[in-house]
Amino acid sequence: MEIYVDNITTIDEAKAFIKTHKTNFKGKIITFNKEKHKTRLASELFEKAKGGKKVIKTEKGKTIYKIIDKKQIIHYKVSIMLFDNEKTSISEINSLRSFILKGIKNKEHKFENLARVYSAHPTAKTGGDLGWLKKGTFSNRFEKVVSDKRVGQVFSFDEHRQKKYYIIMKTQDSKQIEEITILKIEQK
Amino acid sequence: MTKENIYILGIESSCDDTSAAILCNAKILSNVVASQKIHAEYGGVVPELASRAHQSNIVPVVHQALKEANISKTQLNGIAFTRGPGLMGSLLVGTSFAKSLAYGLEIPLIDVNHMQGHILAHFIEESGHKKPPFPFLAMTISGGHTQIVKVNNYFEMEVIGETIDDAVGEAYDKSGKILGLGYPAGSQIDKLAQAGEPKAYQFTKPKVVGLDFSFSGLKTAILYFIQREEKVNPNFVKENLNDICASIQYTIIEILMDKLKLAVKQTGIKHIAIGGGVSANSGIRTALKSAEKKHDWTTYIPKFEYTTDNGAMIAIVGYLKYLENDFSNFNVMASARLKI
Repeated sequence: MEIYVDNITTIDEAKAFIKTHKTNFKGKIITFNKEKHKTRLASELFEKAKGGKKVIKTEKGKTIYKIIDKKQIIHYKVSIMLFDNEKTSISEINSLRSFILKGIKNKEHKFENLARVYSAHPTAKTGGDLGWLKKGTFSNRFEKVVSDKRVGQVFSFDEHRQKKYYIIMKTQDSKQIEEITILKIEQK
Repeated sequence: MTKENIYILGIESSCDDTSAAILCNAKILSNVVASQKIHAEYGGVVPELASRAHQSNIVPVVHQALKEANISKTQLNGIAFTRGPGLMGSLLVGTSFAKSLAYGLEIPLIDVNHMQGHILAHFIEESGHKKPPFPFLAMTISGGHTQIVKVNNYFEMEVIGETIDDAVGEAYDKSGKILGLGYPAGSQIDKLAQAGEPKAYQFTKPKVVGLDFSFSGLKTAILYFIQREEKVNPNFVKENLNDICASIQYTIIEILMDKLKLAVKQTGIKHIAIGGGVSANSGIRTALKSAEKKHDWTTYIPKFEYTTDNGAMIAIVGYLKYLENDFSNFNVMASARLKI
């Protein structure tokens, strides 16, 4: 198995290998982000160069992790509150948003507290934090607006077509984050 | 779906006012207060009568608050109530009612310290009303309390001075009783004082070290002064009522302002907010306004209906705690001597 894996150098080759050998091996391609994945395994894999591998032997068999790709990708970080107008009029949303924006700008309330209470987004429970986002995750228009803002700035943003209305806080400047693409192969 | 608005019901029953208010996102939609007139004939609040009156008033008051706010109880997101300090029997009525309603509606229950309510009433959204920036000094003056509090944040407060005996409101009421005025006497003394000479009679100010207050000595001084003068002239009070009231008011304000000046000197904080029923007093308001120019202070005086005991101030604290996810257990108990 290791000889086969040693010869794989691209993601396409890895995908083809998984497809061809699915009866003998259980394979998948995974991506680790240096900011997000902090496990011991992830840390060990980040230490290795492209093409490097880690082999774990257990009683059940062997698992191989091979670094197929390693690159720096631009990420940015924002927290959001989502308001949609399925049941609420735009004027009501705007009135609520201006109340919230005023409270944050005057430092009367914390963004995360208001997000927890008012946001309709699944991140409401964690105060609206979306974590590090890879460039291209959202629309170009959204990412342009975010990149033009300063860290800590809070602003409204509308996606009229999708009837989605946001309050966004830029929480970190964009930066390059290392990502590794790994082929994981387990013996069946 | 957007959660839209947050509605909080605030219930206040710490003394002799039954009050309920509905708040929507820091704005007050309704604030209903049922004052208990029955205590006037006794010259002060009778605790047992107060709790009985709360029992009669609480349902119609809450009902009226919901009606005026034009919302249904099912729209409420949380129920805030005064846990203390206050009269135990009175507090128990509001606490039990709030618990039952929150339990029935399956919404959060939020316990509120009455004194924090007086201070945080400044954060009710009102057009034209400026909010004090942190840190600020809050002087809470009422019939039950006299405190100077250093407010570092919504829920980080430190009492730096308080009365060691009577509250300032008691000083007004007991002086009023000596002068034969009705209860409560604060507003009457304030009104009569406006036509009198503040320095007509001098009363000794208590010598209490630090930022603590004392008003019991002043009350005794006024009593002995009136008894002495009436021996000479039985109509002394009647003939000099305005001057006597103005002199009492002047002395009380001097005591309060002296301590405030000391608090500002010790803390370096020049943003001063007042709260509590006695903050409706015109003399205190004037003294604070003149201190703005004289001592470079910025003062914050709440809207009149938020100075006396009211549900709105409990609702705003409830809202602020709601944002912090700070809810009570259903086994929470009323606490007559609850501290900040």
